[in-house]
Amino acid sequence: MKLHHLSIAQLRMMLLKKQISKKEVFKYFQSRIQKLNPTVNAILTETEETETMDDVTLPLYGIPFSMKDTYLTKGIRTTAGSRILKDYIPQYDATVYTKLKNSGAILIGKSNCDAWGHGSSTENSDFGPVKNPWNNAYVAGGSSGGSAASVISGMSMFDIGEDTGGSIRLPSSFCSTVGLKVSYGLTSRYGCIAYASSLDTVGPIGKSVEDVAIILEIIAGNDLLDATSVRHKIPKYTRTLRDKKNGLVIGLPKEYFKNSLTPSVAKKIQETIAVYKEMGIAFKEVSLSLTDYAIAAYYLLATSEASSNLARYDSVRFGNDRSVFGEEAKRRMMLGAFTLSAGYYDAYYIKATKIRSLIKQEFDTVFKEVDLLLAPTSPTPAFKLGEKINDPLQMYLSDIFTIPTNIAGIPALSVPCGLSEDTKLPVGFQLLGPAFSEELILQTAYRYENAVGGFLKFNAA
Amino acid sequence: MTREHKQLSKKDIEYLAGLVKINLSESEISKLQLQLNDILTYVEKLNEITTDTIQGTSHTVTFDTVLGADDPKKAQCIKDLKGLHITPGKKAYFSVSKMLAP
Repeated sequence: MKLHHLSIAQLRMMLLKKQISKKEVFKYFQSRIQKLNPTVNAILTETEETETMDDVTLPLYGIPFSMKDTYLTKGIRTTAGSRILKDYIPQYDATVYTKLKNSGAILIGKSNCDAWGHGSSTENSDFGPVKNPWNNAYVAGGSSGGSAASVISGMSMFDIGEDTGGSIRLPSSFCSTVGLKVSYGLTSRYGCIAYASSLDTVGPIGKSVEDVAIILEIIAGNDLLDATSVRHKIPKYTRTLRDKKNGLVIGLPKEYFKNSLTPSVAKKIQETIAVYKEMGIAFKEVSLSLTDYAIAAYYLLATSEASSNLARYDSVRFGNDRSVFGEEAKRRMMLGAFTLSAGYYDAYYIKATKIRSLIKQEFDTVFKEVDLLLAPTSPTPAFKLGEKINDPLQMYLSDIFTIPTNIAGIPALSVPCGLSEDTKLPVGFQLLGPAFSEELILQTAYRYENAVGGFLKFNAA
Repeated sequence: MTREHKQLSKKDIEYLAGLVKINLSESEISKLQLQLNDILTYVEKLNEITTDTIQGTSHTVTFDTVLGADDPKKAQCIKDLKGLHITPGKKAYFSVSKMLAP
């Protein structure tokens, strides 16, 4: 039986009815890793079965999951994809890990990623790139490439990724998983190795919308250890998942449908819109005129924050000196050091924060007209390994459709919508909403998933 | 503040490398000079937008100052610090290079 094709609810039911034991489930996914990981390279560290509470009523009892290697796990190596931390064993757990453990989930591995989250293809990992499970000549996307690849290929039931400029959604679109970038502050960042602190978000990657809602319900909410985590009440996402909002209006931002969009992706997006129209959902063209400026603002904000976050890594505390930093980390630290330096701070960093205000305002205005926005997650399906690695600017432009949401702090969900006609690789669309509208986003994605009869299953292995 | 079209010289690159405390080879310096100038040219496009009267946003969510109770139980001190396994050498202590030259 292919356990990795089951939903979390289905696997949990089997465990509850004792049709299978927790140990057998763990062994099954372990053998998937042993079989697939030598090619895909999605998992950096395999973990032993840990002692978890033997309470079958826990919401994730016995469910094996993987987690991006940027989350601290006490006693388990955590590298952030960088050689600087190749032997680093954390002293404490990230809040997201604590919450999942307390819900009965079992960590099976730490997922490969671009070092420090810097990248769009996982080729910047110091431990080798992740291969796209659908076609090993292509990238899995990044920076949480190992996360999406391990979930779709069935090495784990779900994964926790981290999205600063598209790092959950881009790999989700390239690998055909459901990936949620949450509103800034919805989930705790405590114990998450920081890339750009004002943009980093912690979110789930799963095989279905329901799976993502289950995980979100567990990881969302206030945390005393993260002063930027929200203090308001968190909705029961799983309970309202089947609700249908009356008179829903979805906006189509015209800047996302310009010539940068490849025809094979455009076709899938049009098919998606048709599915929604069939349900009687209204669409309206809107404009986000600053979309083209988002990347420039992002690379000033993110590198400024990265250069200060990465300043702490020295050989005294982490065992490796700074010469070990990879090319991309060096590039971003240098750029950040420049944009924060005396004489240039106002012209670069402050300028970018002002553009950020304008981008946020523009989203606020659009969300007065429409409930949600629908757009492609990426202008192209997965690209070939090595294709963009020597041209950093081209690589940065892969995130053109994902970055604006991080700048505005709003949520977005990448949802699979089939394979591209030419390369036969997955395509994803994203639903964007105002801050803390995860509930409506998940409901709307769930309606699509049901209308198309579920998402593609990975059958190759 | 208006900005002149800034391009980084080799000397600038060396200075920045000093700021971020990394050593660069000659070829790395040339490569980074090219790539960073490429990126700086690209971000020039932000100057197409006038922002003189705009207030900057460093964080998208506004928070009050969060001050918790001074409660040692909530302090989450790290217990049983283990970290010496990564120190080089036989003895379990951290060794650093000399701070003062003779």
